[in-house]
Amino acid sequence: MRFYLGYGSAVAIVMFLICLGFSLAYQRLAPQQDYLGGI
Amino acid sequence: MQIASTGRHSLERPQETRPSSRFQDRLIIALFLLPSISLFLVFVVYPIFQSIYYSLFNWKGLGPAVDFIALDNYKRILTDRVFMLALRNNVIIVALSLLLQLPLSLVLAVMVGRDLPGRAFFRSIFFMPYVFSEVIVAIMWLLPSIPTRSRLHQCSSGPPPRSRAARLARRSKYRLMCIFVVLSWKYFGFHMLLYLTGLQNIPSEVEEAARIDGANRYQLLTQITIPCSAAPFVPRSICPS
Repeated sequence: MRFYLGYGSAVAIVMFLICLGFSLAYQRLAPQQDYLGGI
Repeated sequence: MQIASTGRHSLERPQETRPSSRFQDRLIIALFLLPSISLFLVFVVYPIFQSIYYSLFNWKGLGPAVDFIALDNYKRILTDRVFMLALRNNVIIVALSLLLQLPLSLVLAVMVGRDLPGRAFFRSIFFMPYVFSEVIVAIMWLLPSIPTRSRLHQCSSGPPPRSRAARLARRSKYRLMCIFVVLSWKYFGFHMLLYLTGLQNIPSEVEEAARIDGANRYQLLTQITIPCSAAPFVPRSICPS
């Protein structure tokens, strides 16, 4: 059985970058609110 | 007089901390953070950089990585039909979770959050699927697709009958929907619990004031309940399932 771990690592990096992009975009775009401050 | 002037001085200007005590504070903070930061570096940051390194090689997992191929693995990803299909399926699952699973959880949270008889029972029932492990859930939902082999049928020679759900799940266009149904069934109780926590933090005075002002149930839900319990919406929307 052959394992393509190099290719798997590349897939992992791409998925990590997608998640990082979403997180950074959310932090930039979401309004900065103090949710714990209550109403 | 001396006391009064000292008190006024302390109100006007906060006492400056000495550099040595500030250093001590920072040292204590660093010492407390050291275990978690070292674990984070070893188990999160280091594997990320290791993955970046191995992604530049045609490495089979055995022996050292010597076959350097630069960005060929990344070029292969762009033309990989399976990867693109998996990415598309993930986007669909996330979109469906945001559009269907979270609103359903909110509705259930509002329902079981009211002071009705048997609400503790229903809370437990709705939360129960989340307690099961993924393997148990998979086996439970696989049961309808397993051929029904009754003793009578084992004596016969024909193919085992399949349930309607199993036939539906075998069609390719319904497979993703079947997975989404299972995911929703497993996780909606957990989301419901988080929403319920947010709903219980709403002060009853606010709802009472709205009722006195003439707000109906729908207005209460849209104007008071949902905005006031906004805190769990954000993390739930980021990681829906």
